[in-house]
Amino acid sequence: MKNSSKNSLKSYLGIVPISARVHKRQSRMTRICIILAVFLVTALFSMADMWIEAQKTEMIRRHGDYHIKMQNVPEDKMEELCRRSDIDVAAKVCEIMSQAEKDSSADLDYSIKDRRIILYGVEETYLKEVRKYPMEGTFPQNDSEILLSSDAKELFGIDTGDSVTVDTPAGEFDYAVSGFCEDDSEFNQIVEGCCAYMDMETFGQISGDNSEDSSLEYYIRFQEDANLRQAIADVREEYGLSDENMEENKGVLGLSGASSSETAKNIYPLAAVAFVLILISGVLMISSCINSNVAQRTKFFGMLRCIGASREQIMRIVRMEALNWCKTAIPVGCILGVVSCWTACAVLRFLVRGEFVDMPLFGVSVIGIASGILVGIVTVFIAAHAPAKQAAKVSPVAAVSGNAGSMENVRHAADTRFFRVETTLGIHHAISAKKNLFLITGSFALSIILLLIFSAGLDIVRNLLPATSNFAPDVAILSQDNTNSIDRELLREISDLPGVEHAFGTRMEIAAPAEINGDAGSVDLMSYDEFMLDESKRSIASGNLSKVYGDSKYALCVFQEGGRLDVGDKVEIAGEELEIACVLSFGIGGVSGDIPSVICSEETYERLTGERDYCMINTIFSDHVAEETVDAVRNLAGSHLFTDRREEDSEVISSYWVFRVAAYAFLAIIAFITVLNIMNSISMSVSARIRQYGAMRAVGMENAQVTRMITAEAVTYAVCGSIAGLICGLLFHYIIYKKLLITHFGGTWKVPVTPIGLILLLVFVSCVAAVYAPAKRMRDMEITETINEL
Amino acid sequence: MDLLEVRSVSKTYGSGETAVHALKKVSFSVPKGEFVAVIGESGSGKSTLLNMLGALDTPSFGKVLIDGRDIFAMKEKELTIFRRRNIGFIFQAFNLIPELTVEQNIIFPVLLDYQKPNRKYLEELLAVLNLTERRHHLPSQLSGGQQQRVAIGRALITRPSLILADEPTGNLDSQNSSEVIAMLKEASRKYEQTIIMITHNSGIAQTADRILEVSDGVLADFGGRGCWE
Repeated sequence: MKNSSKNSLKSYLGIVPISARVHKRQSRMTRICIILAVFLVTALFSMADMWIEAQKTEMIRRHGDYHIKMQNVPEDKMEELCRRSDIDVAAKVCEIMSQAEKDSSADLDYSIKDRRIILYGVEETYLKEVRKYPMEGTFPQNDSEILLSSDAKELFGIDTGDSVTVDTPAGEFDYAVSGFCEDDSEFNQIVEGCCAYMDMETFGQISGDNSEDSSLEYYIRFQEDANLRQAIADVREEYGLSDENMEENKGVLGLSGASSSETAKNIYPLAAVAFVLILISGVLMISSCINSNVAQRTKFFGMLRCIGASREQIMRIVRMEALNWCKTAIPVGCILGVVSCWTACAVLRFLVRGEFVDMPLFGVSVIGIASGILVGIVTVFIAAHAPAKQAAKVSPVAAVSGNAGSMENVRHAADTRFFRVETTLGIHHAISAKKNLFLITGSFALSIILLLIFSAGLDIVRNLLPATSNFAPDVAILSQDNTNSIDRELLREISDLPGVEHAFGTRMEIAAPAEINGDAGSVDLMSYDEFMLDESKRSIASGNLSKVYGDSKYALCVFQEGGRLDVGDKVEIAGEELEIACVLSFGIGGVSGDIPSVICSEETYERLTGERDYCMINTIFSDHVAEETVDAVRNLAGSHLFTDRREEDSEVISSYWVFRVAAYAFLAIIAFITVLNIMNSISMSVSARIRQYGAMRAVGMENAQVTRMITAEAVTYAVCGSIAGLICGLLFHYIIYKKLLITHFGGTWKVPVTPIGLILLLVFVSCVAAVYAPAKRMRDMEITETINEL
Repeated sequence: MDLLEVRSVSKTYGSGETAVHALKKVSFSVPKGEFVAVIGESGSGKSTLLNMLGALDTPSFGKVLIDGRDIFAMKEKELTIFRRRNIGFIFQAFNLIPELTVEQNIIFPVLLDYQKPNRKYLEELLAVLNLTERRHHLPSQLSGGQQQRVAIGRALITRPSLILADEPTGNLDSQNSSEVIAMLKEASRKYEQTIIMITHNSGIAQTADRILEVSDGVLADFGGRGCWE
């Protein structure tokens, strides 16, 4: 220390880093808070960025890396356009008109070995730059060469250098295969063939010989992502292009920020909201740290004022102190954020897969880091503002008369009528410093509000993703014409297969004529078996489900925004009246959209319609089902439609879990911040009053009483915070439910007991944690030490 | 011309029944270079008087003129700068910045004025205060007397015309006390500074050029040392 600070003081602000070095421990909490805020924002924005990057990769893979596509534009105009300086890539593509639209059953106009091929005349840049297909071999060099989809290798059993014969209406053409490219194999599967690429001249010959119309398209990519909108608008105006001539690559454009797509528009506001939330909680916690810090140093600031520091200089010192913490905290936060973003990307890419396979691995997001730095500096700056003003207000007299500060603030004497004196003093300590009380209550309340909002948000997501419900089938068999034509024996056969956990059938009559509360109309009538009714218990919005079981006069319905039915409504079907006994928030139902669906038990359905066969049979497999079982179900389906939803559903479920984990992680960190915050505040408050406590102990206060006093202070903060947080939080919870959930899924608002329990537990834990360390510190300290500590 | 002129300064805290009259129409003046001791019992109003002189507190009535300028007519900022350049404070509790070394503590007021410390003057001060050897020590590594000498150095570095000391020897033993007072006197004589010092120690008061006594907010001027003797 002696040498490190030697001659290092060049300005009065030089005291800041020196003081920070000495008081490293005191500012540790503040630094942790800054690190957390920066880390959260960096990680969040990096993830958003990576996700957009991944979407872009996927879009490019699916649609190609170009910005606009032009067609039916005179060639000279096009040539001129392609010479523009702001254009990075321009590639020509020719395709024989209408062949792509022909379905697989049509005549095979162009084929190799009786397999349909789609012929393209392309420039090399199209495959390499626009489509970015991985290529093997070379691009056709002359009119005797052809490039094929990689699928052709297996399809025709050929390799580079082999020759193929293309059958066309005008005869056969022989080509040597110059190479293969990995193009869109989904498309190849649809056309049950492959794509063939040749250079423009060769394509010209073959289409000329067949006297085909060919459409010429230009794919354009601009040089930079910035100002894309403008560039496109310029081109459109300059060459007088209409929507018919020019098509935008919406997926890629949207994600580049030249947005007309919804995805990018949606993710940034979400990230921005999170940014603001983190900013607020960051400001609250850092502000309370700095506040206590300033409060403890009244005398120091008074002394500075005595020896000539102006108010501005004091404010500058406090601000600089705060910014000085950023020096280390921001880089640490950024690094943590980037590393956790990498980890999360890796987890998503390799473990969750699904829509996340394109997540970049070691991407560094400039936006992420920049927003991290921004949030760090802005938070600290805002947080330091009030304490800096507070410090500047310290009167120089404070230095001369030592205790001026702490005495001046006390306006009312503590009221000792209700509690014992130590408890009263603790409460008094908490509520006498209004600003501190407000800050701590605020940060407490904010966490609680967030927790409740998140809990409501998760309920919405769960309702939005029906795959997360218990009877989301793995595979389904549907009758071709939506009639009850699937033999009910089939259900028994499927149920008996090994690995089938549940198989259940639904009977259905679409738009059955019915009288609803006396008015003529129609309903979709469906049946649920016992398993489905049991599983529906979780999604009861209102009413009594048990009445619906068995042969009864009751039915249930699934909530719909349009023609809604409610409990107690009467529906007359086939001359019999059914009463709606229960409304579900979600379930299988609502086939026709705007007409209500009425669901009854199998027995009731049979009584009403006499039908016993099914319209749909759903199967749920056990976790590790053999593919043979799935195939067996497929075979049993025969001519009926068979859909396998396993992959899609598992993707939905994994997305839901990713969302859930992310939301809870975010929440956990916010909760953690709250706990840290209250710990910090209590600890600071104890440090600030350490002499007072010492004096109290000297005149006979026991250790247990000291602990009680500190506890009373902590509990006061917690109670105020919890009350404020629960009131506002429940209000938000109610509003979200009312506006978003009940209007879309029905049901009623209930007090969220579990989240509230969780919140109270969290509050309790933070109180215990907050009291423990300072109380221990006081107990371990000699009385004389606390009196003399300055 | 007098460096300090106090014109019927009164200070009342609170109002009505609870009003406390800390100072009652106090008037006196101090010529340049004089060493004045202020004595009085605890609660008599000495510290209030000193706070008024240093513009730390504002009087209820009356004026304080330093170098002919009415300090309470100045704006906050102007006053801060005036105080920074013209008044040096020495506290009973030293009030050094614990994380700065002796030398850094001394030059701190100069830095607050955005000036470069005058090296030659600093060396001289360190020598006068007998701190040259300890210039790189932290306050915690010094004795009480040494710490107070650092505080004196800090008060002298801006060459203020007026030095206000509130019981500078209150926390020191007798040997250290007389040492500190000697240094203070020597320094002030050398740099022609006016010193107003509160003290409880009549021995120390005896060494002053003039003694003022405050009792129940009323000031009595005992004049020069000669009067007492």
